[in-house]
Amino acid sequence: MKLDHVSVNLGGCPVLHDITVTAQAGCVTGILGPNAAGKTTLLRTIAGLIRPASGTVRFDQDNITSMRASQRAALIGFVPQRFRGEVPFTVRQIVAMGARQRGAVESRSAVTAAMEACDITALAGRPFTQLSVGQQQRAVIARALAQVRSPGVLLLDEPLAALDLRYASTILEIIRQRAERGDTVIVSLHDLGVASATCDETWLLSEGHVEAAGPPQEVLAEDRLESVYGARFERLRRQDGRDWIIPATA
Amino acid sequence: MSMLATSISAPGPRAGRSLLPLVALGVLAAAICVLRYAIDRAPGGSVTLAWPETEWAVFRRTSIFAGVIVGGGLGLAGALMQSLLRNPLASPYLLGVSSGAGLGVMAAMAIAASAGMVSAATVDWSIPAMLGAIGALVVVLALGRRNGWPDPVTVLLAGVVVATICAGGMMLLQHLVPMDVRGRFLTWMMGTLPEIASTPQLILAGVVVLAGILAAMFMSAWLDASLLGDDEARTLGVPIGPLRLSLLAVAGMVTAVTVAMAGPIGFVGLIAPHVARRTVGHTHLVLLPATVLVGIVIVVGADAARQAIDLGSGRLPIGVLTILAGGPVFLWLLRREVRHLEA
Repeated sequence: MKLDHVSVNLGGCPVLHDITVTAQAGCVTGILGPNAAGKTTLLRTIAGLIRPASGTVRFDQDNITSMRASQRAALIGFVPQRFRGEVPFTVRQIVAMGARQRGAVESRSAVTAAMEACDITALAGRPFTQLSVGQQQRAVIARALAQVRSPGVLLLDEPLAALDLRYASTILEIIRQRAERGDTVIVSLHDLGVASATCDETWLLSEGHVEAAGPPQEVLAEDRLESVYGARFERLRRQDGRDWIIPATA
Repeated sequence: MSMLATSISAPGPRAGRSLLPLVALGVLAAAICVLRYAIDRAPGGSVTLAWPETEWAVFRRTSIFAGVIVGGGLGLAGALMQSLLRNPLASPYLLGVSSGAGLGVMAAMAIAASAGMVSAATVDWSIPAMLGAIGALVVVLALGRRNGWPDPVTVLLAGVVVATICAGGMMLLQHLVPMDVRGRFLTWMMGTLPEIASTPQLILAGVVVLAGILAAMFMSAWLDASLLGDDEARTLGVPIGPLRLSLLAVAGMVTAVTVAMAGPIGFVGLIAPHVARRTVGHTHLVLLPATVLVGIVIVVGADAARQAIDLGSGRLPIGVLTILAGGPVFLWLLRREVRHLEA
């Protein structure tokens, strides 16, 4: 997935400026940055929901923006940060909507596998409206998993925001597995520690610009984070050699 | 509004379990049509149930066909409006179609009055009604766009304003025409199923409604996904803009056909989708035919009921019956939903 000099305006205001980055297949790429840095706008642009004012978003050689909606849906699964909770369908129906274009047999197995992976099989017959926000979040993630055949593209906007530690860990595990199967996974995160521990590449955004892009240990330098976030951080070394970054205590 | 919003989102039976209620609705609609064919009441007499004699049968058949077309069409248009605008209070008339039709009819009556033709009993108002309805629909869809495609809130606001402007035009014309023309217009506004209509007219209207049903059912999976919200629907491959434009146009055309045939008949398009959802659930592949059947039951049923009711001033206009009966039923559904939530 290659973004080439992408700029985006929303309501006449420039939100993203001249973004040029590449997300590799088989890798988890994290989008990081403070509030209003442009993370969600960038993900929505990659998903084809926003047309860039200039520049191109390409997967292989195909321009995402000019693809038909059905072509894009076969390639890209998107988990939005916010979704409608008042939807009159059961969990299984919600997940099945993702797999609709995959044919009856493949669709059934994709739905079953995605629901098992997100641990929502027991909720299959429950109305979506009666779930907690965390359960709804897992159903929406399962829908995206069922939608895209590997190798495809998975875009997740703050997928852990409503999840407890157990399910955050489950979803991170799924994200890694999908990357290992050849998917291009791009995920926006607020937690720098999780990003550092999970992502192969990171894009650090600030006020609509890419401040830095590369492996987390290079991008997430203390002085750069302090400049972008206006706060101090501490770096701890995990047993697996990756870094864990937490806000510094006073 | 929030209670109604939850009523539209309350889960119904799963698609697989919806077939039996759908068949039951079909049987009920057929039974109501048979009842309408057989029911009669002579002026000042009592209600009888008997197969009509040959000379009356054709009028009853015409009325039933018209009822099926109008009821089915209004039910379909109401379901489409509520789903496409994601608003449980949406009705077919929110597109300004009935007001546009009313203005068309009123303008035609004013022209006919000035030419001394308005007293002719054979004047057919369906053509000006159709022209007015389509004119209003085109204006609403043109003004209700955002980023080139119809936007739910903008369409709704444009529809309300166009309807209000048309209502103002109707009032102006009513002020200008003689009293007897006003009376004729008020009668038209109350809605009447025709007992006399040419076969091509019935076939044409039936084909428009049937084509609308088939087109909507063909796109039913997209309609399901559209309830998730525009962005999510688009990421699932739904071309939400073209879908909304094409199906709003279908809803508008179907409504225009029904208004041209029977005048504005209130509440059917609003209430039929709610009753259908309670019966078969929200999956559009089943919901759409169910709504059509409920619309038929309401309109043909109201037409049968008006044969039986004698208030000493001739048969009640069907639009009066659907509003007087539909309003309380809607309130009952609302209270039932609220009680369900409270429990």
